[in-house]
Amino acid sequence: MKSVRKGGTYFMLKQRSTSLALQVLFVLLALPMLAWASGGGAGWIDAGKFALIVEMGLGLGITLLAWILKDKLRIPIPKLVQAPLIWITAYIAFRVILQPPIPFSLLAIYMAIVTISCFLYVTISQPSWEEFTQPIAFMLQENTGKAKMSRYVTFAAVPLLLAYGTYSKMLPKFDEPVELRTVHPAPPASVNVHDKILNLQTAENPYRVDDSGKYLKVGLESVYHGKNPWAQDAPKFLQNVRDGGVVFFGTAGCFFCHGDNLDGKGPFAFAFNPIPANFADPGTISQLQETFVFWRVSKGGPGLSREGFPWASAMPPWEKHLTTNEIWQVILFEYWHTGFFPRTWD
Amino acid sequence: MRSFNDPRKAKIGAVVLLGVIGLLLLLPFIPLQAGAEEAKQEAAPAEKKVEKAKDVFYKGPGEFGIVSGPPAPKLKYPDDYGTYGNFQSRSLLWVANQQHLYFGSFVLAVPMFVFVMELVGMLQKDKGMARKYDDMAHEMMKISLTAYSITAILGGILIFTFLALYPGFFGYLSRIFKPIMHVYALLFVLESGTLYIYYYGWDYMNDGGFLKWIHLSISFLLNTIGIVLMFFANSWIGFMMSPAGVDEQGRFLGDIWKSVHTALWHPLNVHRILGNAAFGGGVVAAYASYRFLAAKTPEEKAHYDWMSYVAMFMGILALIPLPFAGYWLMREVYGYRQQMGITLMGGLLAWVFIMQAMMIAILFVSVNYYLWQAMGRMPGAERYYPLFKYMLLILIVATISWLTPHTLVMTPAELKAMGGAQHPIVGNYGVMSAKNTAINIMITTTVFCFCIYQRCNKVPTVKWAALGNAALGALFTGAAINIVFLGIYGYFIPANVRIGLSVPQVCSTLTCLFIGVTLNTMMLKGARQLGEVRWGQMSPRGSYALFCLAVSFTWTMAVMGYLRSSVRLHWHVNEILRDNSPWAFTNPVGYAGNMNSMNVLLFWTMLLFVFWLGALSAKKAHVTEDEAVGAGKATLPAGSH
Amino acid sequence: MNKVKATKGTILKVAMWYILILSVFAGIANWLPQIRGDAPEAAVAVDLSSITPEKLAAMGKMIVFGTENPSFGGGGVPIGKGQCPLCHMFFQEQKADRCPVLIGEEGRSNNRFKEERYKAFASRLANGEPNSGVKPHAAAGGQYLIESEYCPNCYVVEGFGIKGTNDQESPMPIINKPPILLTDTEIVAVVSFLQTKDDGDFTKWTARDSWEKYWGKPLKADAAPKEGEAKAVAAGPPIALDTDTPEQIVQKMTCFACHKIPGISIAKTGMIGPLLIEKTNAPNRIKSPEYQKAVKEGKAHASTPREYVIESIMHPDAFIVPGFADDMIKDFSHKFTVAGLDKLVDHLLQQDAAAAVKEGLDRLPNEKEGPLKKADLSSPEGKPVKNAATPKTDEKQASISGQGVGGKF
Repeated sequence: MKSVRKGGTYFMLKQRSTSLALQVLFVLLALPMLAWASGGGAGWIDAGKFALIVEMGLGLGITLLAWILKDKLRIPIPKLVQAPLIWITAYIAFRVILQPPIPFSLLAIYMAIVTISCFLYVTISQPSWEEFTQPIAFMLQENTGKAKMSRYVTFAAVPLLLAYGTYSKMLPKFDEPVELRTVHPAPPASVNVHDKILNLQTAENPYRVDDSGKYLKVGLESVYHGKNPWAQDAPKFLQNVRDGGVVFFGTAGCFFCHGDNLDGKGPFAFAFNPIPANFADPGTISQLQETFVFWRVSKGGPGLSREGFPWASAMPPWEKHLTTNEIWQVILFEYWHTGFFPRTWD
Repeated sequence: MRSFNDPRKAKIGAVVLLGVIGLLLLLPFIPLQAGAEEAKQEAAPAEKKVEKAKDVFYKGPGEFGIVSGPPAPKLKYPDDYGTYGNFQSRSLLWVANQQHLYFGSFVLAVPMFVFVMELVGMLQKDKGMARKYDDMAHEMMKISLTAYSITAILGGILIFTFLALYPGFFGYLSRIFKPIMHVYALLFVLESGTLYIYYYGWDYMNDGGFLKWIHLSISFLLNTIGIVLMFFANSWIGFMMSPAGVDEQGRFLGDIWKSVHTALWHPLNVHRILGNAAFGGGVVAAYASYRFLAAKTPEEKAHYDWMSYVAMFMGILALIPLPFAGYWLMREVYGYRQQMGITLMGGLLAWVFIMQAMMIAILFVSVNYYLWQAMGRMPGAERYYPLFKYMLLILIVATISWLTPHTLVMTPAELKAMGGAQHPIVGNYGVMSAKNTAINIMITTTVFCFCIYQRCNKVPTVKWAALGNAALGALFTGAAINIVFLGIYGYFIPANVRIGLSVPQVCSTLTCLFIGVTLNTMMLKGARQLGEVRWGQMSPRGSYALFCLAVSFTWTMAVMGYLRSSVRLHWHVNEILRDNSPWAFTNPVGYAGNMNSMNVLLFWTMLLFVFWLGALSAKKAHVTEDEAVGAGKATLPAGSH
Repeated sequence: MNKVKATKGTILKVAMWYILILSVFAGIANWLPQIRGDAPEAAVAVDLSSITPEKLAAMGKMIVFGTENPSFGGGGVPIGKGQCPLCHMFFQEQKADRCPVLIGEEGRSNNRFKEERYKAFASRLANGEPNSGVKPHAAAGGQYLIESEYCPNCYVVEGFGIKGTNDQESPMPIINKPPILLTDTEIVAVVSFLQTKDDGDFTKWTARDSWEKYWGKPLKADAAPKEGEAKAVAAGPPIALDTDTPEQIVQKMTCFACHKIPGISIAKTGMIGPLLIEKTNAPNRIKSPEYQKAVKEGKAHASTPREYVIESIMHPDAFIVPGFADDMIKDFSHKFTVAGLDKLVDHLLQQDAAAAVKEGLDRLPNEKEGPLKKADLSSPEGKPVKNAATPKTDEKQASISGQGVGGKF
């Protein structure tokens, strides 16, 4: 390690450590920011976001610590430590900070890329390479007590690690088999609800109206987003939203499963497999027509079409409990609350 | 050759030689013409029972042809298929085909490479540099000579494999392409002759003047013949993918040109020429890298270091337009049969495209990594070392986005934990907007890296240096911002508008490539040098990066060839001749991966033999090589100016 | 740096590096989801020596209807591989009038080939009918039925030819060619069904002998489908999904049987419905007085080309293009998924006159707009709606309405 403390190399090392600090900062900040940004407009703070703030604070703290270590106390972090550090940071970021958790297949892809990039990072230039290999060469070649000890430790650790790997590989697992489920099967052309045939192709939500009672084109309702539906002078649209909210939280009690924030995390949600739909996710109701949602609400899991195999849905057929109007109102409320627009033909 | 000692006679002799070769080039067309006349004569008396049928591809009024062949046979297993023991016939044929194709590409690509090198050498003002380029070209040609005979042997093996394992199919194909196959064989003879004259006349014609130009013209001829040969071979696979010139029953309609000129012929031709050039660059770079690592003297090391750099550069030059050629090919595939396009991009073979995406990422990262390592031989490059890791960071972030699949593979438990099939954050990286952004950023970073490489041992002395630097900085930053902005903007607009965004993104990248490199080169005119390039002092890791590049090239070729071939699904000739063997199914990507890896390994092992042969005779030559070569002028190859 | 480090074992190192990279590549390829694409079952020969005429007729019924017990309740018609019930009426309960009714066809077939009209066809097509190459030479009822499948133009029933051809050309596709592509055995099976379906009397069954006599060669059991294959067709009605390509949707919905559609390779022969170049047609159709009349009557509702096309598929009777009959199947609203419809409509709206001309397609003679001319192409097709507002197209419109008065068929 002597050579690296001298002159120009040291200068470069210092620079490098600063940039390492920047990188750690970047990774730790960027992902929570992204999560934050994609969280949607619902609610100001919740447990998840609180955790994010704590994580961001931790990240800042670590970065600060690294900076103090290097630039104030002048203790350089050797490349041999930097690489695993970056790797572990990335692992934590992808495994813990990134929420909801990503599947293992994706984590494996990401970590493989990170592993390769760590290696590229330490070998990126000749001085960097020398700094990286020096301790390894020291450990393998020198005949001092320290080097010998580290050799023994490695010698013992390798078979132990292999043994652990074998153990966890051989341990019987009971994962569910992979299930290819069509979440949003094709709807029928029409449904019969309360003895009325509704053409899903052409039907419109009768409560999607402007002040004059005329049908409001999809997209134009954005003026009502974020407004108070309980206001005395609430326009007609918002009054309908309010009625829909009453159905959601009262008459039907949708929130038990679909959650207070319509995020699919209601108190009963985790009793079901698959869990109830998360309306706040841009992949659910915002991808569907209002009439599709009407079909799902009115007919529920039992009404799924052939394509919906294996019909894994705990949704009750709400036509047995709600009127047609109530169903339309609650749909209006769901779109209003999440801020999404239903899919349309044009 | 002695009579040519008189320079005037030599000139006349050379011109005559060139003329003769040129005339020989016309030879193959004689049977073609004769065949056509013969067909006419045959057609005339047989008019009584002339049967006309509609072409499967060339539609429209008047596209009826005279039926002049039997219908495509309905093949039966095992009658029309052969086997060798318990081996899968298809896999055997696969190996034979792939090996022949590799060597064919190699012997096609090397003359292209050699042609450019010889030309560059002739245009060099510096005698030492000129000599260097010329020697390199000569050396590669020597290697190509051995590879040439191996190609012929592999071609023979391929035909025998066809005849032994797929007699029914091969019989049908050869009945249609009868005249072309003979032309092909004749061209091959011609190519051999040209090749030998070109190679053995090298030293003799190296007079630095007129004869050298004749020599170069022979090289041009050689390349032309090679490319025509490849076009003919392409016409067969084009016919298999998108048949034409036959009717619905597969009966030949008498016009061979229609069968050759199918929907996918030209896209395949262009794609393969570029692919071959990139592949040739990769193989030569790997060869030079190996010689670099194994070199015993500093001079040798310097020579091969330089050679690997030039070859890598040539490969990348061909690589950059390759995606556009690929785009054209895909568009034509969609145009021919949308079904075929969807099978490729979104259907059965979509996962194979993931492999291709991975290859592209590896190619770009390898190139950048090589350039970083290569800067180790440039005095003054230390100034730029701190920048490397940011480039790496950008590349890695882009790679992560590039390789995030749209459809995630997961267990139900993971699906439950994620709360849906799409991840709210990562899902954003699985779509087209993110992919376009990522690849453009990767290319732009590579261009930036190259600009740094150009200037790392120099300090610009032009008056407007500061302004130029600012302009360069603004150019790259602007391009990056534009690309990323358009990428993000793409999420907020409907899909049909989004597709149009890729054009300005690509424009940003190309602007960086052309204007950035030009500006950089102009700034470096008369720049103060911090020191000569220390050729031969690159770290071995750079060589390993080049090996990685070369392997990725070969593997990509294999995997794309697999795609092209398996998109026909259970047809020998699409919709005309059905594959009724037990191997008509389409293999999963894993099996294809194993086959490809094995094929690539086999190819490189054979290539090793070729290189070893080349090295045997090269040993003597390098001992006597000029001192000046080792010192090496810090000149970039012509392509960079 | 005159001394170069010892370089022993370079070859080994490089080889290891190669093997490492290649193993990684192969490993990743194996790690990805493995999907094997099996070839569709090759046709398996039916043993003609052991199959009974009853079985052959049942097979024919499967080919026609896709099920052995077709039910016609609620106006729905099961349609099998042969797609015959789209146009032909086989039973009283089944409604189809595009093509000749096939009830009692066995009886008629015995007289057809004796007609003077048949002889006129035979002499006109003595050199072979251009599309199929067949020369009409039926000498028995069974042979006539066989011939009709291989060469629909060899005899066209009066009143059922393509309009404007004086009943000399048939709108029926050649059955042994794509897209229907029945094998010889299957055609024999269908004819067996035709001959015996009315009264179950197998004494009249001659299909196989007729085939052999007509073609003068033995019927080889080359490629008849397995029983299972025909059954697979029967499983549920076809539904146009959003994962389908427009081509697949057209195939599933059998649009090609009646319409020509540019850009769809199987839809090049339909002679019953209008040429579907909706980028050109739809804007003009909406403006047409006939359509506006339908709007006033409350039948039609479209105001944009897109609405028009969707309406035409979902409610074919909302507006009938002048010159055509109300022939279109009305059950598409049950067969299209929302996204599937979207996809097909997108495709149709992209097709214009230029696309049709490029593929050599043209309007039917009974389309009022008349055959496609260069003039149609030179007008800017890109913005049909905007275009319609310019005076130039007003002129065009006027001419259309002018034709409309006298152009009723």
